[in-house]
Amino acid sequence: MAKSRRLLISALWLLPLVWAAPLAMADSASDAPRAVVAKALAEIVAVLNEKGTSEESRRDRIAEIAYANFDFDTMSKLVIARPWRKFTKPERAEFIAEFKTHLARSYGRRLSRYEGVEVRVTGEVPEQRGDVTINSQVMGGQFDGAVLAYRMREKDGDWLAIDVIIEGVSLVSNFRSQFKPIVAQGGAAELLRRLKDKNDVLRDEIEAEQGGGAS
Amino acid sequence: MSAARKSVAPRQALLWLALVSTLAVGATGCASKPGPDPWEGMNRGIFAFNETADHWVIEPVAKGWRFVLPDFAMTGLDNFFKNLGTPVEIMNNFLQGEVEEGYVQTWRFILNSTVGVAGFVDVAWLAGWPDYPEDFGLTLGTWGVPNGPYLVLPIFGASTVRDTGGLVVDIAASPYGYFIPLYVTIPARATDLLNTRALFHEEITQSREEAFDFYLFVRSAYLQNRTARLSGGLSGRSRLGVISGEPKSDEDLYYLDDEEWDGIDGEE
Repeated sequence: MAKSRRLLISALWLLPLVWAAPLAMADSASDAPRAVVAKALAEIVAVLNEKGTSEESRRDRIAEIAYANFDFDTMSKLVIARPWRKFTKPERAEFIAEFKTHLARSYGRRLSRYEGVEVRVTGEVPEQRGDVTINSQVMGGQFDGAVLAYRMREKDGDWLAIDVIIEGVSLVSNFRSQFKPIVAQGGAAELLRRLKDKNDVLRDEIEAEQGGGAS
Repeated sequence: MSAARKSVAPRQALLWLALVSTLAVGATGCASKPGPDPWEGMNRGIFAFNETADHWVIEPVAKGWRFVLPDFAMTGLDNFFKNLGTPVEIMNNFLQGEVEEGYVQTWRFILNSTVGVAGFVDVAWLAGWPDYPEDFGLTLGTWGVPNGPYLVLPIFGASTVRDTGGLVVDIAASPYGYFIPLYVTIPARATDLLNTRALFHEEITQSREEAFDFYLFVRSAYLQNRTARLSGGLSGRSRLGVISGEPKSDEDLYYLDDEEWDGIDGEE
């Protein structure tokens, strides 16, 4: 197998860095998205490399950063795409909440894997309709060399991430392809049921991991 | 030597060609559906076979492997096999017209094979050199050959018709088959596979647990990653963070027609 394929395998689980989106609004409009990502990456890496705090507390802080700085409404719409129109208002709200939980639980596991990691912003690419992609690369640790990109979109003056592209693999696109047949067959109700089930399984896994780590 | 030349590597290539053509013939008989994966039924069957093989054979052995070998040994082996594959990467860079990159890979091979102790240490990477790991599937892509249908190969996993052809060529082009017998090269490849599987054991287990449909997860990831590599968005990675190329923007992914969005925001 080529090294790049190995990087893909490893990087797909790349983690909380996925959360490392905007922490705060930058001052100048022109370099705003890049500055936002760079600052957030520094913050998240600091949490990841922190010594002496529990994994649980670090995970919570990373999730907090993510919750404040990703545009989950837009992400949810893009993940569901066309069928979103057929979702009722309560179904939409429920999906957004459960999807947020899903991302937090799946990307916040086994933070110890990311010790010694740094992330460097390597460039920015203007996209259609005002979006900006910020490119970055992981330095050091198990995922040395992996390429991460953040799709940024301005919303009410804030630059928020609407997608993370890990080694060329878009999170939005990957979830869309998995959710599409579920929605096509069972509608919103079935998707929500599957999502909640999965979130329960992940909660149990995380508890088991913590229990195992503590004993 | 000429006898070995004739027999060994072409035999591997023929084996693969036979396998692939069997699959292709079998597949055309199946009901096909539109999109990148017309042979989904057959692919899911092979995928299930691979998962079963992994569960009963590969994973248990990989776990033992991890238990016995320290991390640095697994990483060293990974570097060793990656270095063995570099001559084929050099060929593919030149075939794609990437002359400078071809020279970088050439020097990378020389440096890592010597200073890097037969490739166990990726000295070039540590020194901040970029890496251009190209394969013949990407070479064909550069020449304008389309992906063709998505194809899951036994043991080798996710591929496409084009990339399977590429794999056959890369195996045939690998120089070792010409002077090292099959009873060495095949176990060597198996060791490489096992070592990689062991290195990423946790990630693979976790992704299986998390995926809503692991088959679609892998397919989506594979096809997107290959597209990005072909467009140059991931080429020239290095420890110093120099990446050439740009990601491709995707109109369909990030914007839907205004008509399709009607009523999405309006009701809120």
